[in-house]
Amino acid sequence: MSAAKDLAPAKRRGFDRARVVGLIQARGAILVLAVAMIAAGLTFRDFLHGGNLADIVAAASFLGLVAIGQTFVIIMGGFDLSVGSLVSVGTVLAAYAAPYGWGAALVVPTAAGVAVGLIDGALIARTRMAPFIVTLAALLALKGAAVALAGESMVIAKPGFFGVIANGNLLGVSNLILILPVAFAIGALVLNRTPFGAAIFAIGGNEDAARMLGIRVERVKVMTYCVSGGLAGLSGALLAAHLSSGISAAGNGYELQSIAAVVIGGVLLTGGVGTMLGALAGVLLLGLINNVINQIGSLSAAYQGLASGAFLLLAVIIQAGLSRSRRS
Amino acid sequence: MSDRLTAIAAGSRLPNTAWIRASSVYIAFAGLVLLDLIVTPGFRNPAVIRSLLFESAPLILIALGQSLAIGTRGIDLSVGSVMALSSAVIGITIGMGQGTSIALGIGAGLSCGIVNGLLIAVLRIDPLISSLSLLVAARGLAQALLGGARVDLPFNGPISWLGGATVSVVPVTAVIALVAAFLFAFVVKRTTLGHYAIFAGASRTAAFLAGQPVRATLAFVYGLSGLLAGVAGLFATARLGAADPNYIGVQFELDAIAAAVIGGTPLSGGRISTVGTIFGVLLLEVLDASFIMNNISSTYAQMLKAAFIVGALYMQRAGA
Amino acid sequence: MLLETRSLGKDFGAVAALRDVTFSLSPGEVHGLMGENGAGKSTLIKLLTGFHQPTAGEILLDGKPISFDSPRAAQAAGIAAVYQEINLIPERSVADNIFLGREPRKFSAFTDKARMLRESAAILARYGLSIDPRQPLRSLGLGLQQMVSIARVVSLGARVVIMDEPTSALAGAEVDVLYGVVEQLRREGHGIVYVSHRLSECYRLCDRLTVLRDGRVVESAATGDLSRARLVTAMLGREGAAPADAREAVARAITREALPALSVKGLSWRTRVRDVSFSLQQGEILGLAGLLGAGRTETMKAIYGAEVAEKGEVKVGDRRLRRPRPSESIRRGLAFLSEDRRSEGIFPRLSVRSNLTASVLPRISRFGIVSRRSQNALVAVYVRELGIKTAGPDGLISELSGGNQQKVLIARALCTDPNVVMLDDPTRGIDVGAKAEVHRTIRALAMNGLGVVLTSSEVEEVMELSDRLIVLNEGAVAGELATAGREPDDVLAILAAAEAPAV
Repeated sequence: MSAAKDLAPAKRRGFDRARVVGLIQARGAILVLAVAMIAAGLTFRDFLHGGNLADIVAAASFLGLVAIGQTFVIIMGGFDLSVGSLVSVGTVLAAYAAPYGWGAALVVPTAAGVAVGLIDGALIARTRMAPFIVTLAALLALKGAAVALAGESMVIAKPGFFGVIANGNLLGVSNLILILPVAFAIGALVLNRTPFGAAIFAIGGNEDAARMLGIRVERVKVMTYCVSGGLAGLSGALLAAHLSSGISAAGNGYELQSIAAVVIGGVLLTGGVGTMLGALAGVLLLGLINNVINQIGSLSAAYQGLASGAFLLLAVIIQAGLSRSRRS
Repeated sequence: MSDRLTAIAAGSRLPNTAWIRASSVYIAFAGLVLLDLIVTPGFRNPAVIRSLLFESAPLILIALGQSLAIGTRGIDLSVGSVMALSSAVIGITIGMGQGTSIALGIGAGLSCGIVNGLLIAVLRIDPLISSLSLLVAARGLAQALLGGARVDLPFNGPISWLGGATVSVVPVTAVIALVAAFLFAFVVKRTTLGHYAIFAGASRTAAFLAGQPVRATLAFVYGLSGLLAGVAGLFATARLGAADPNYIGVQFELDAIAAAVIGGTPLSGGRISTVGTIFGVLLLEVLDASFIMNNISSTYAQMLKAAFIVGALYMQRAGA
Repeated sequence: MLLETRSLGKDFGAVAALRDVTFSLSPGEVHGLMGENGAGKSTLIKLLTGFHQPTAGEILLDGKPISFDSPRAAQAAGIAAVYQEINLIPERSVADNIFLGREPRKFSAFTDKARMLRESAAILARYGLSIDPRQPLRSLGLGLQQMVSIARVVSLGARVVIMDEPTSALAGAEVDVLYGVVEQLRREGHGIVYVSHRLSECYRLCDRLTVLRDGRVVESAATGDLSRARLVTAMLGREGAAPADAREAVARAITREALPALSVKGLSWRTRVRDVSFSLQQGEILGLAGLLGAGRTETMKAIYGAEVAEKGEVKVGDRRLRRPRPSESIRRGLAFLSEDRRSEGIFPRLSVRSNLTASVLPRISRFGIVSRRSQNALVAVYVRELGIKTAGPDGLISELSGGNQQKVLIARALCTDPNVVMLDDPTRGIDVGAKAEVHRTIRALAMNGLGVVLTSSEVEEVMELSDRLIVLNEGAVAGELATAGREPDDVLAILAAAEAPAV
């Protein structure tokens, strides 16, 4: 009994350092977001207005949905490059389905996303092909599909309630704003409080051990890609509702931005570590950067790509540094 | 006991199937060309061949770099974006004189490669992660530099010349690419650096224990990949006649990886086939041309090509 | 009787890994399972845990024959194993790890975290472990992580717990905690199969001991009835058939010069190498003897720089090796051959030529271009000198027999013109004929003035080849003896008398 107590004090020093590192990884993005908000608020007069902040959140909601799925996949140890085209295809399918009602317009794109995720996941889990090859190929194939279905764009003539979903107001607040917190809350719940989420962390942390511990690794992998695909499709549907049209280039870049947002938010690309809150912070941070870039008239929108790229690179380097200090 | 078993196993191995799989790219290429000669209208036109070779030149360069990275059991996803960055640098420095801007463009590619190499060799970041981050950062930088817009380049001068000059039916850029391939093959087969790369891919632990400079090798490999991407960006820019960050090098990574792997450089490392890589490039380009000339719309073409690549890589996996 | 095997056997193709193994375990019994590498311990464990199916004999649980078609079936039946490597998820909390895969549910879809924490805390308390179940697993030392593995296995309803080398990575107080857990398990009526080669532990914890060698049971008795000497003899044993070449009783006079070829002082690395010191003269063959896990490989790797020693000094001749790294060691004339030919030695898929010259490329190239001619010349030299049977320098190394592969690796080391060569179990997996050739080569090296450090999985072999032996026990030097006129029993005697090193 006393032997066990002897162990505790000896561990404390090592414990604390690892704990601090873990905290930085998990909460670092939130801190950066807070600092960025303060900095932007001080620099730009109109930044901290409710309207502007609402704009940021609303604009980020589409990427946010995709980022939730990406978080699941990355924590599990893979990543999903197909989501960009899935969003595009989602908008197009929504445009096709809109005449059949808002239900169809939401369900069809989501179902298509799930189906693609199923194929991706099956290929990755069963044939052990590298995720980046399979999802990259899917990205390209679907890009063509989106154009094939809708040319450049396809207008939704009578959006009806479908349009209201995205553009209406609830309690004086744009509907879109509600999506982000609600979706992330659900995502966090699934990730942290369900066996499925625990399995995802396990596979990402140590796949061989997870298998030995009895987790059905292949099944969970396929399900994860289905979730990612489905969320991308849903995001596309909502985007179509917002724009009242399906656009075949709508999702371009979403795959890289979602990965960037999530990594900036503290989700390790090596897998097994991450929080929904961090991912949300990453999404909002990217949204904030885009907003700021727009506010600075002289900088073109092209800088958005650079900003997210630079942040991603920085995040990856910091992650590597933190992981190494934790290991030693 | 295990000794005897090894000898028995070695003796009974069938070399025949391995040979077929190793030459699969040549067989496929020959088959496709044959098919096209029969089926596709206008395939024999020398203009087609010329156009094909113009498209191939940058892809050959980055596929070579890719095969080196893959040979070390790594990967370089950033090459397409580095092409775009090189193009962007050329675009904004064109005022300093074409020679300078060419040098700067290639230099930009080399710098990206060195950064990548340092991240991988010194910080021990996984090549996949490191090059993915650079993919995003480099393209973002390219777009920022050009303001997201296309910059047309002057009609005269070396860049424009590169974009159109040919030696009979073979474009100068393709000639340069082939010369580069020849040098590359030499480096891989005959120099210590090339050998170290293969050793690192075959067994990194054994290479370390044998006293080889594994980290320096990796840094060099990725630096070279970046340099080749820089030159490829130059070629693509010259052919386009403009620096366009949204168009140059987009999704070239997959083509480069596919060309290398289909050509006989397995993702598991330890083997690099330069000739195979070149034929892999040609195969993909002929595939593209076949789609276009048979009036298969680009959208279906993309889907078919993606399916083809996945299928080919799957078969390579099953064999590797 | 809780668990029993009767005449259990397992063949892998033509290789019999396990033959006629009869073994039994009662509730509340701690049964030690011992044996050297390749003795069959891990095969037996894999049969008991459902990873493999036996090809002969049967397994009985509670007196009834049972067969497992999968690891999960064995777990469901109540047999579980805990290994050296922590097969858990380091980033997750202790409670998460204990319940992974069968979390208690709330509303059937959500994890009941409160109950998980409660039940984890209860299990941990029962075993006297003051661990907060909310902690991430990686914040615990390896020892406690292992306890969590055990807690998991027990909470899953295991009645038979197989522990595979549980203390190999533990130090000090952690080992005592493990002992406490084992006692508690015993009190609760679990049966424990305790696999270890640490004699002191087995004697302390186990009620009975079974020794495997070459896939068979060679000794099985109550601990009190089995002397250390008899135990060690059983583990190491003697080869039945006499080796092909007679023992060369050449007593070589090694003059103790002032400057040794290799000098190691106070070398320490983790818990596997503890304050090891020795010196090696030119022309001397020094053997490192000891049981599996004694730290022979780790000592060599720490000297070579493949692992970074935490303390200690290594000198080759008069030069101190400052930055521990293989390339540095090679440059100073120290070469090393790993025991794991397949993953640390050869470059599979590459040619004999590439493999042989892998360490000396800079020396045979000009302006960075490797001279094919020099390579072929080197290959020709060593093919002749070492008798390497190969189709040619272009041949793939994978097509060579194990013995010839090893000769290529020896040649690789020799190419670097070393003063000292360290060979880790160089004759492992090699047929008798090639073994004799390797022996000749080793002796020739010493004759030529090289210093050789050597280990072997067979005590006779290391005694036969070496001029002097250092006996290692659990990472520390237990004794030293000159081999002239000695018997392997003398080594066994040193091992038997060795105390577990003070931590």
